[in-house]
Amino acid sequence: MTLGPLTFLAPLALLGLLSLPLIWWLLRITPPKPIQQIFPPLRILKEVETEEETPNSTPLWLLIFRLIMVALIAISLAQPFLTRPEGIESRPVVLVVDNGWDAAANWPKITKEAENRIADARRKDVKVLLLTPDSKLEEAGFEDPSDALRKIKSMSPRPEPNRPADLAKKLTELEFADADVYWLSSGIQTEAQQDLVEAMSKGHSLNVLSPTSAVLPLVPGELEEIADGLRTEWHRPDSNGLRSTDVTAHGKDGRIISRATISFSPGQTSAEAVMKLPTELRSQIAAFRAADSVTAGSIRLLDDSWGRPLIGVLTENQDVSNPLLSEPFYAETALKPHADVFRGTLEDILPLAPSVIVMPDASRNDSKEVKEFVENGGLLIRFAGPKLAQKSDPFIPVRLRSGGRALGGALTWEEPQNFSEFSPDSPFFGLDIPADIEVKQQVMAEPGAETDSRTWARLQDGSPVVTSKEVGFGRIILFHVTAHPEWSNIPVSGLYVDMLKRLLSLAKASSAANAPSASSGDWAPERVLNGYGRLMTPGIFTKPIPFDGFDTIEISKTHPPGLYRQGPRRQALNIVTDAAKFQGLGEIKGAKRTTYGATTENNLGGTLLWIGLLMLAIDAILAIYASGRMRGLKSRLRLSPKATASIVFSGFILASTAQDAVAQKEDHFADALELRLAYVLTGDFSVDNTSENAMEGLAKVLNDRTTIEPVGVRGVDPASDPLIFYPFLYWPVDRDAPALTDDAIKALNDYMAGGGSIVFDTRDSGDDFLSVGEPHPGLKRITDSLDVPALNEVPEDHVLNKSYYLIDLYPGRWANGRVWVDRNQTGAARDGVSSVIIGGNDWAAAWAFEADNYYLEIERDIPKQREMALRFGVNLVMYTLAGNYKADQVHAKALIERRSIRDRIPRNLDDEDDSDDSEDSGDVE
Amino acid sequence: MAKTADRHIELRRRSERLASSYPDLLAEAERVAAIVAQGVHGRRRAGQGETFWQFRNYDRSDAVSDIDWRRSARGDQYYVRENEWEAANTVFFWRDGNPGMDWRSSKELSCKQDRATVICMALASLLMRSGERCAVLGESERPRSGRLGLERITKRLAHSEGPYKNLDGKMPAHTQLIIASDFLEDPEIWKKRLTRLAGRPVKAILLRIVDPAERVFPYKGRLEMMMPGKTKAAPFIVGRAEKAKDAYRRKFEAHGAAISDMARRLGWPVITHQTDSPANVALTSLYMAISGEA
Repeated sequence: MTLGPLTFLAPLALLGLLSLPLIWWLLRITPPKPIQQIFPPLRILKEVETEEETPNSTPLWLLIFRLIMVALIAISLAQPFLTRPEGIESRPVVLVVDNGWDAAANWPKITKEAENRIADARRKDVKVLLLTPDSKLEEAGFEDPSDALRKIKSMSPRPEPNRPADLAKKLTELEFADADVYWLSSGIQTEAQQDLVEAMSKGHSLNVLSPTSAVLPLVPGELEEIADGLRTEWHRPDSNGLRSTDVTAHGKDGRIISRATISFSPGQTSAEAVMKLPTELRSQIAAFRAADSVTAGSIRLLDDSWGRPLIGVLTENQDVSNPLLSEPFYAETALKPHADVFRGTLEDILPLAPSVIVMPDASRNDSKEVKEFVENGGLLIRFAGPKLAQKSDPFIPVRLRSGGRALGGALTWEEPQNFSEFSPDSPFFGLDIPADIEVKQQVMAEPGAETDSRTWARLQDGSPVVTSKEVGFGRIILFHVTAHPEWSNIPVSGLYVDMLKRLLSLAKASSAANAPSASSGDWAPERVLNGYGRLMTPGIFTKPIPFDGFDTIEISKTHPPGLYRQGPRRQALNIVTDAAKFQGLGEIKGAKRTTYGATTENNLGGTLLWIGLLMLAIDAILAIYASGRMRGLKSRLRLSPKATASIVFSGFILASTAQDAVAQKEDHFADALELRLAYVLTGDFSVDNTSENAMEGLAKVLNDRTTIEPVGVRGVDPASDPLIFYPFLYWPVDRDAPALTDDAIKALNDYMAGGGSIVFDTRDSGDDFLSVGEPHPGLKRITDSLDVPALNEVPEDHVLNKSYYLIDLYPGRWANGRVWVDRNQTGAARDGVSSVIIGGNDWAAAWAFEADNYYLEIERDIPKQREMALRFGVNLVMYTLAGNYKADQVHAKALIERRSIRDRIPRNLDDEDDSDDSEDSGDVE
Repeated sequence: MAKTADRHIELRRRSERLASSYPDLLAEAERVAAIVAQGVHGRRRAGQGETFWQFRNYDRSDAVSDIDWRRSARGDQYYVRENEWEAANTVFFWRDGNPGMDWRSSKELSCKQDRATVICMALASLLMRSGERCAVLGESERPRSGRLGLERITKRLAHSEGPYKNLDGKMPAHTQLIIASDFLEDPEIWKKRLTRLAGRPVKAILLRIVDPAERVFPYKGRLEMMMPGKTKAAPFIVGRAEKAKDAYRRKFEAHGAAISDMARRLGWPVITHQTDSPANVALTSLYMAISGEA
């Protein structure tokens, strides 16, 4: 329905205006409810003549206010539109919507625009033809705007490139000569763009919409490993203006490993991000993303060629007799933390397509396969040994003298030699050489210029000890000593590990792709990207890629981008292969260009509804005012109405925030003077309540039984409160506990470094049989960022077991959960107090005390469990306060005596003795 | 029960504070005491009593047995020995207990009934300290004095329901009566009650307690006025309270004047006390009225 410049999409809602007279009448006859007032001299008042019989009906201004309010709401529900001047002619609409990966970055804008167009068509009552690259020709056709709207709302971007050629073909087969064509483009140029534009040009007019250049998607280019990190290159489709954004490197679990900023200068389409990362972190990176470009194309997934290299260590079959002395053992142990190491014969290893093969002397192999491996880009690390000394073979970097050389033996003059400093052109340059390295035997290289240039490490007398040579695409590296400590003590030194680690980064991209084999089957999709670049489980449409077709496969619905697995190998299928070709839309002849969001919002419904609802809220205040109930407030404050209003509005908001915070902080500093037991506020009311009660219960027990006299308890927020005043923090950890903020991490690390202890209670030891072996997710999130030392279970002689009572269990609600403390009991700075104590017995439940009753019933795993739990609590507080003072041997004699008595008494008295035992020990202060 | 006991203690405390904290008032009482109200103190007149007052010359109308022979023997004339007239005054209290008394217009004020009770208690305390005898009309079986008597009478004052039939209670002649009420009922009704009292040999003082809201009528807007207590009377709706204000004030003043007129005709003083003014003002006026009367 059109009314002047206004159009109503739901004109029936205007019938609501008919209710206005009714509201008028109702408001007239129902004045505001009078205030009830008791008044003893009513008899006298009744004698007063009242002048008007219908006094104080709803005041006229309030009446008008309410009528306007209702009218506004009724009109807004009718969905009014301001008609645009140019939109008066009505022609059918053809919407060509890009929904490939490149549209994902701006998908909300595209759908909004499409909805606006469809709404426009609905107003004009014309048909809409909605066409996307993946829509089927037989289903395409002009339809009702409401159907098109439903379609567009259910659409989401696909993780595939747009195929404008198909689209153009479809368009040529459709008839829309008298229609307005709108191309809602992704803003990215494609090779068949010209065909598409031509196909669209047969409409009455062509409008092209594209995103502004600042929000076009970014795509990753080259990825390169440099000496101390990684360098990634990023491309943007056009070179207008400055643009800078963050690039993040993600691990397998999605967490951010590193972050770098890329800045595009005007006129440049590419920029670099350099991330400095140690090797260990580098190998954990699974993907790179551009932060402000949410699309599958802006993600670079990494596969086996990056990350942990696959290493094969050649072993002899009979090598099992003395495993700790065998050569592969040393090499494997050194490499294991940094790579995936497989042991086996050449036949076992080659099908795994390792990037490095380690070949100790004992398992020397000069077969054709090894040669192929190296020439195809493999890295062969060889170690010398008696066999090589006897007989040389072709796979060595330098020519060797036969027989080898012994240093420091009974019949030689020479002393065993150390390494000399690594030269700057050696990959080992910069490694520290321990002083105690001794090389007692080696194979000798023939001297010569070639030998010099191929030498990476020398002994102090200058003889080469590590040499290397490039062969084909690969490289051979020879250690002139054995892989085990027979010829030298290098394999048992840290240098050995460092040197091998440096060599790993030389390994070329895994030759995985080079060695496909039919036997290992097809590439099965493991995780695939959706249009927005999120890794998902593959859907039912996805199909495996044939083992030999991975390089040529075209990304489609059945083969979405993502990670594919074949046996032990993984390979990433990225959308963007040639980032340099990536370009903006460019000039389009005969088309009207606009950017998304440029068309104005002309739907008045939301605004009107907003105003109407605001008036409704104001009406509540006005109603109070009209009935005279504001009078009391005003007289009490003795303020003008304006001031009253401003106080009412601002006061509520401010009062609760600022003042409270300040007051609280001051409180905490008072805790420096008095002992309070602290617990960490989790935000869960029931958990915090239990913690508070638990600390109170524990404080009561301490006051009753010991000279520790806490005056109260305190709930703290690690991020904002000072922690240093509390001997320990009790921290109940839920499975869904959130990760810590940076402030909290810093505060807690400082707290632990300054001598504080954190008692983590996962409260789940009752049902830990449900989660065998799985780490507690909440605890993991929290402790990931903290400096938690190496832990072990509380040993029998731990101070915690004897700091006040003698205990050997740490019961809470449950009794049998395991408790972990710092492995190093003698940390000097901390006075022997463990910085973390981790358990799951739900101690708070056993300590909590409310109104003279214990808070919760506890399990009865052991006799007198409540008492034992409280004793553990006393010990815990004593331990955190007194430290290793209690570790002294003062009780040792008494304890030994008691133990010997216990051993002598008959078994049936054991129980009695147990209780006496712990009771007595309480007195030993 | 516990609640009313608390209330008694609270009122008692307030009245003691009121009575004790005014040395001026006590000084005033001392001045007055010589002539009036000091209970068993003499009336400075010859009369019934045990203390010697004066000798006077024998008159013919005197009985021969009245002659004080010991004094007469010292001279030629006959003397008659007269003792001082000693009699404690009796003060009766009646405090109105209708539901309207138990009302206050704002939380800062005390309700009319409490204020009346406090003033009566303070007065009783002052009177009984100087030996007068006090009672609650219609409730005490006989007037009492002394500390124990004070305990009893304050308790009765606090708990008294104050029904109008108590006004017809037993009372010895020539007693002083304090009537504390808001006197909000029709002056005609009060006239009937008071004239019935006036028929007995009683001197009364009316203590009229007024809540400030009753006098100034500070209400605005649309009000639904209700009688206090559980009444079946329909609430009275006032359309625009501010318009009725002036008329109401006039009516209220006229009502007050009617009560005063009536009392004056009976020769009784009216002391009007508004609950937002300090209680000692009313107490002072009452004391003055009692002392001035004797």
